[in-house]
Amino acid sequence: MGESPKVIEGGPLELTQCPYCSDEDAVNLDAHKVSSDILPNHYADKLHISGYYVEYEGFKIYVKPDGFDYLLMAHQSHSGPFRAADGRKLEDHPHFHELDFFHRINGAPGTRRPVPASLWANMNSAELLEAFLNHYYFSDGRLNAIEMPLKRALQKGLEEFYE
Amino acid sequence: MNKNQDALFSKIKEAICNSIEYSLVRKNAIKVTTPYLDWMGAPVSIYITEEGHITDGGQTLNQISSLRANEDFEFWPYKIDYFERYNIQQIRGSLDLCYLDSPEGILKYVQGISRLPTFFEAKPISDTEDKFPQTVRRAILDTLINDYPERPRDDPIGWALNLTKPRSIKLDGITIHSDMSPSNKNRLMQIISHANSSTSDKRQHIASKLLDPLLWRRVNPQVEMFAVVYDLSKYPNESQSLLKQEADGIFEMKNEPAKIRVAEAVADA
Repeated sequence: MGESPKVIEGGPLELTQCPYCSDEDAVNLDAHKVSSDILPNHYADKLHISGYYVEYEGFKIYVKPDGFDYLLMAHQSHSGPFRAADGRKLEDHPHFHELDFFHRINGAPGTRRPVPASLWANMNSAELLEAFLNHYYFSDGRLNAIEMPLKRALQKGLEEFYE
Repeated sequence: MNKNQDALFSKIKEAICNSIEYSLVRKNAIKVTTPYLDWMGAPVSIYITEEGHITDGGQTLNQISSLRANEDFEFWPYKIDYFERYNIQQIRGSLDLCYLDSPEGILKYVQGISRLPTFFEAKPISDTEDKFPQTVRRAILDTLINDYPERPRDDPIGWALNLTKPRSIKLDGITIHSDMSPSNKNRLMQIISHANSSTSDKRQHIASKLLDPLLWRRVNPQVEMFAVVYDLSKYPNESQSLLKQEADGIFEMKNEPAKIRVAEAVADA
């Protein structure tokens, strides 16, 4: 987390409409490789950022080395109350989610949930991704703001295929 | 079992039972957090809908898709066996519980959901990769599944993935390649990428894409070749002329209607 900036390879991140979902705001984020000079090779060579949609909880972003636990996540919602890293008690709210090696629970790393001012209730997936990249200093070479993909319009008369 | 064993066993049982929680989530569903860990090391959650269905909410297939491994999943030879073994049924993009008869069946389902993404290797986009072929395949896949009027009712995703995957055709001593697999077996789809490369690389790339149909036409005069490009004007003039001369159709993806035209070229026999 201390590395700055963290460089995302393969061009700017784009949100794509998820091919399997019926929700109009459902988006996916294709995995991109993240390069790292700090992490040892066995992590750094397979470190990636990606994101997916869950029908009942919204969009989730994660950064992880392939085959090992996540390092960072961002969630559009939180089910039930939680304690933010700054001590506030919040209900359902967008939040980041990071491993906390300094506060262990039964020997295993704990978790922290930072909720900076750039996160607000009902923000969309593009806004969450933008806030995540800014908060953790990821750079993907982008100059413009991240946008939601164009909403898909189903052809009329064929809705019964998707019941 | 002695006293010590009994005490430890009770502790383990209690810990497992205490780690199961539920909470209210969107669409009046409840989320059940289990002690199983997923491939990210986070607890696996399943959802019970207000209609009483047990589902993963689409998270498993969406994860596989975001890792760019959905083709591997669709053509995974163990898929049906795995679903049967782990009491899973695929309902569109969700993996739902199949039989609710026994508690063991529900546990099997949770185990199956938590393990599934680990079978597929992530394919993150890196700097060395030209994204355009993958972008085209994804756009055409999406169009075939959602907008193509003649799509099949049964397994439209598998059908669309079959049409958009690359195809190799073996001739005498050589193999030629098509970037998609049209249902018309005499048709080649060539995706023209390298838009950000040097002029000589672009020229070479287009020449290589035209070689395959030329070779195939030697043994099969019926061969048709369609080219998919983002913007033809970005390529050298002589390459544009060559492509216009040799291709039976050129689709420029900068134009929105091109998606449905490409989908038709891929799906129509």
